[in-house]
Amino acid sequence: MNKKTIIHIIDDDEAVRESLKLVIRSADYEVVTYHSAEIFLKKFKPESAGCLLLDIRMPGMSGLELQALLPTLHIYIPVIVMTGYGDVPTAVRAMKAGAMDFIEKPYNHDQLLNRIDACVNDAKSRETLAQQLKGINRVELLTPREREVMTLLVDGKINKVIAAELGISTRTVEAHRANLMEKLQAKSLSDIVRISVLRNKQLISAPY
Amino acid sequence: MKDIKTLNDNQLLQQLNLSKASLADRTSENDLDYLALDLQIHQISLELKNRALRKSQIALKQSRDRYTELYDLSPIGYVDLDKKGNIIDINLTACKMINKERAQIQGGSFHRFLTQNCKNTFAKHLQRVFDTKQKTVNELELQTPWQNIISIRLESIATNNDITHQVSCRSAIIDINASKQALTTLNTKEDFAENLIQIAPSIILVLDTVGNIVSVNAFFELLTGYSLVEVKGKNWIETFIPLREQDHIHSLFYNATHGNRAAGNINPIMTRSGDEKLIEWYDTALLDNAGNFNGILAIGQDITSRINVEMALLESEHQLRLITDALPVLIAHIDNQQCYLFNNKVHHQWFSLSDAEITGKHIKDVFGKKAYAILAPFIKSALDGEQVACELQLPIKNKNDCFVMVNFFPYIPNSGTLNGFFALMSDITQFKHREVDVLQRLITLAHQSRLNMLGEMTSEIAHELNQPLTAISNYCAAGLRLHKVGKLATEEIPKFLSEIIGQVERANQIIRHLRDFTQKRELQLKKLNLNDLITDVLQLMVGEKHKYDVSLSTALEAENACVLIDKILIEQVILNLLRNAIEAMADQKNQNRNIIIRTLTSNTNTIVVKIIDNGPGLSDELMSQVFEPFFTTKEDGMGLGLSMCRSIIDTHQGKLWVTQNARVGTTFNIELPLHD
Repeated sequence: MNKKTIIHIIDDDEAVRESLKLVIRSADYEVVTYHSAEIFLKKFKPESAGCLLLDIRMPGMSGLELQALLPTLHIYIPVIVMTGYGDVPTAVRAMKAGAMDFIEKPYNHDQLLNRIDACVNDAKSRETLAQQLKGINRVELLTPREREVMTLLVDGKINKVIAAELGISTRTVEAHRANLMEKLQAKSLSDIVRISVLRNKQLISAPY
Repeated sequence: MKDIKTLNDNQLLQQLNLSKASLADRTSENDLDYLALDLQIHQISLELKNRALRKSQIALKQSRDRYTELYDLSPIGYVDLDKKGNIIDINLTACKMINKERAQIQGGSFHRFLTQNCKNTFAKHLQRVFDTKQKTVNELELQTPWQNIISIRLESIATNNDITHQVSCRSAIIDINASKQALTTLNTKEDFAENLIQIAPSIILVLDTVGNIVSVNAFFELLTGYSLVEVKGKNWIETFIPLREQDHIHSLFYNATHGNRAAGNINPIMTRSGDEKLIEWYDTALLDNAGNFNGILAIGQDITSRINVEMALLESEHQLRLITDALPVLIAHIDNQQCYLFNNKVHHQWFSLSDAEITGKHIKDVFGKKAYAILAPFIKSALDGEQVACELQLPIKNKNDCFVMVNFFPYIPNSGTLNGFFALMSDITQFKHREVDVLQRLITLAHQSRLNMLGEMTSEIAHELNQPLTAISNYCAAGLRLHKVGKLATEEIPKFLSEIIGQVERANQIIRHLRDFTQKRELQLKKLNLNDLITDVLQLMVGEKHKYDVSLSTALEAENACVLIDKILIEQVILNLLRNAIEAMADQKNQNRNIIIRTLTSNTNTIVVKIIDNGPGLSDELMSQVFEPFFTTKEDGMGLGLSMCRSIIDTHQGKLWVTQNARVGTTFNIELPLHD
């Protein structure tokens, strides 16, 4: 493990920022914190790039705005976006904008550290990608109805709404959802979102 | 023998008897002695006679002097004149009248003291006295060079002088100047009366025994347009009384001629122009010296306009009665002794009494003792000339929970002295109950609206709650991980734990706030600092603020921000206004979205909260509509937010209004009364 790898955290909430710093430090990473996107842009040095943990909701420049700005400033750094619990649409938008990954607050810390590791470690990153690609391929196993349900879930819709839109009962939606999660080997909604976004990227551009 | 002159009367009588006795004892031996004795007796007798004569002479003189004094000092002048009019004798009073000394004028002519006018009369007077010997009376005028003319009455009789047997004229001169002057005044008064009759603004009419006109005054001529010459001798009733009234007046006239007067009769008369004038009459029967009916003197007052005014007054009084009776307000006029002079229908019906049962009664007797005890201080103020306005709960018999709005107006008429007060009262019991209902509904609505609002804000609030939870979870994870690898220094543990406690408290605050906010509860007015309240509210807004990327800043300038409010309701209003401002600015792209919350004390009594945004602002049309219920610009809005906010602020005796900023955006203003 590269001890020099620096993890950057941008979060306006001091308590969250400082506690997160302790967690990541406990995994033997260097951590630099910033309380706004603007300060990050001012202080960031490209050579120290390891990974960026970015809070989506911030006063001033938001996480998504910063994400959009980075390529234009020729800053290339893997970004993990931190979103509120169940904020699927924002996660989808972040992923589409090029985020490597996203994680919901409050975190599963092991998962968080794994994702960070994956981001900074090429090999692990590839492995994760392969796993995700497997997931992408498994989409082929889904029935048309299950795919419809998946699309709507990724749009951030809740079961009741999906049921209404498809003209089926909520219970049926729940059944479809359980089935598709099993087929995709997804543990959570965020897994579904990840698979969906990656699959769409794959369909548009060449796969990794 | 002693000189008889030195003897007194008794001694003299003694001597006389002695001498007579001596004479009787003697014989005529000696004629000389006898003679001498006889002479002495004569002498004594003579002396005695002389003395008696002298006495009667003195008495006579005294009597004469007394008479002269009476004569001279009599208040009536006396003069004795001879046939030619020369003064034989004159008393002092008469002398005074002509301002001369008695000695100067005695024997002189009386003529010269008379004015030229009456000299002839005097001559005839004198002649009549001497010729007829009868008492003669004439009024004459005395004149002296330095005196004014004096009017006198000369009353003369002829007298015979016992001694001279000459006939003289004895005259009494009576000063009648005073009575003469009074008579002159009387004449002037008659003129005055005549003038009065002519210029009096009343009709003065004299009718003869059959009702023909004898005389009228100038006012009559003015009023009727007829002159005296035209109407004299014409029949009053036929000429002036309208046909329809003639029978009635005939009978009145008949009664008057028979001594039955009808005072104050009112009847119309016709004028030359054909108008009718209403006259109020006062009649007096005219009687001759023998007491026989001789005609009628009638004095008439033109009351046409008075009657019109009275009618108008009655009419307006009637109208006023109608209005006051129709008004749904209890109206009464109370006098200085706290008794009813007047009360309207609503008033006595409210007490389930009749007008007569209230008018004249004391307030205490009408309201009852308990209610009077409450009213008494206000009544006192009103009678001290102060206006009173208040809401009272009065314990009135047969009325439960009775609320009245009381207005007392001291009545000070033009005379300037207080004449009681007017009491206007409204029964606001139902209104009060409604007020309570309205408040209850507002509380329910506000609660519902808070629930809705929180529903809309759920994800934002969840995010807010997530922050401390995330931090807690981070601290725990970090601690555990460090412990696992043996890197957690013992001295670091308290730091971790206190950080965790801090974050738990943070989460707790949010939850507490949410719980307060979602509770449905009665109005709870508490003394609070409004600046602190605003700081608290902003805590709930953190999520929204982030979501919409709005900068929220405060300028809590009010030094005194102490208000008596329901915390949750006012928080709700501010939250509502903030969310409105945020939503209004949501569509603005690439702009700084700023909201400033400012507090300031505009005067000593109120605090103003200004919520200033730099959004697109409101059109004039919207400005006037935003507070109306069910008005909304949102697709899914109920449109009750702002109207509810205004109701809440109204409930706090405050004001809520919106103004347009000078450059961009809108300001919502909340004004609340400060609490000491």
